[in-house]
Amino acid sequence: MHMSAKRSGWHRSARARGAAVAIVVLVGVTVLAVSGFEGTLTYYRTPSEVAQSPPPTGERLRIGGMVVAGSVRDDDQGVRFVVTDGAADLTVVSSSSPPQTFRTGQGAVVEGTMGSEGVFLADRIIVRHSNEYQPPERPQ
Amino acid sequence: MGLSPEKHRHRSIRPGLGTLALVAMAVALALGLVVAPAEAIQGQAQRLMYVHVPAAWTAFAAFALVLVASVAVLMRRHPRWDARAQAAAELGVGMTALAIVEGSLWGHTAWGVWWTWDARLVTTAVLLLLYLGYLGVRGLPGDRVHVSRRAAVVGVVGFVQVPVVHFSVLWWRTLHQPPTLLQPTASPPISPLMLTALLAAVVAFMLGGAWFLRRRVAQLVPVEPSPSADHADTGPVPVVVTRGAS
Repeated sequence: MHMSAKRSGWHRSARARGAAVAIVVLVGVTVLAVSGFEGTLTYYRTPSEVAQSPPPTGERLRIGGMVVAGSVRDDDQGVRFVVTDGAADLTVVSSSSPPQTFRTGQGAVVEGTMGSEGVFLADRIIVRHSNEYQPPERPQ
Repeated sequence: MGLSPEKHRHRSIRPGLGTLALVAMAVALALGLVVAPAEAIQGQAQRLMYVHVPAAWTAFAAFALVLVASVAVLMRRHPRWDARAQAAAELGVGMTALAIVEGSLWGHTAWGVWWTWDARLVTTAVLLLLYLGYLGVRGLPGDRVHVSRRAAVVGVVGFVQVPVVHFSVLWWRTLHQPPTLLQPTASPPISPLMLTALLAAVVAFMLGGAWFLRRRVAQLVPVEPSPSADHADTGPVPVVVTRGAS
């Protein structure tokens, strides 16, 4: 009897530790899932989606699209450019400067809020590069 | 005369694989750093790809091995499979961590962010946590056979996350770009020299991984049941599983 009581106690503590590990992993996964969930499954919205259902002013969101060639210029509020998904265009004014890899004709994701007159006020520009890898057109 | 033929054979095999891995790494380094051109937009930073992609693929392969070895453990095979499962999980965790850390550097230079809550990044972090959990389960106290079988269940179920990570960039709208190579396409959108460097790096990582697995499994199973059983683990070996029956 003594042995079996000892054994079951030991088993219970092993089980408790197992449960503790499982809980830690579950909590970790849940925290990751919840903290990332809102923006994760759909990382950015497209200009078409924003045109169809405009977000309420003040709501932070990300919008992604291709940077329209020739649309980039400096502005007193920062850098101004147009992103497009082919169907709809959206003018972006960003208070932060774009990363070095920012190019027209390439993807970009902007973070910020919708301003008045349909201009998106971004405070962050993230480059979304394609899955293409090519050397420069004219190698030095 | 100190070496038995058994030991002698082991000694002559291991340096072979290690040397092969080293040569492959040297070739991959030369191709990746010198021969392959810099990328048009990303410049030199694109060379981070030659570590990031092989690390991720090696992790996937390692977790596939955890799956196979775990199924073997559940079918009451040789405990060597249990050691293989553990070694493969360790390799996979290390490679996943490398892919995340190195991907963070690449993300900083290519995207402008170290980390972001994108489906590929989050699912990969979950993958890392899952297999850390797997190793945690392995470390739990208890009867060795029960612990290894419990871990094997995690090793089988956890593999679900691998295709989730791979397809995350296709199922959901992510910042991370879609696959360049691992999707059906006639001509992958990568220059031939870059592709060569990438494939050489993949070979080097896989060989290095195989070298690690061989050494680690030998370390985890230091004593062979008998010299003749060295390669007998392809068939069921009933002798060794008796410890838990007390």
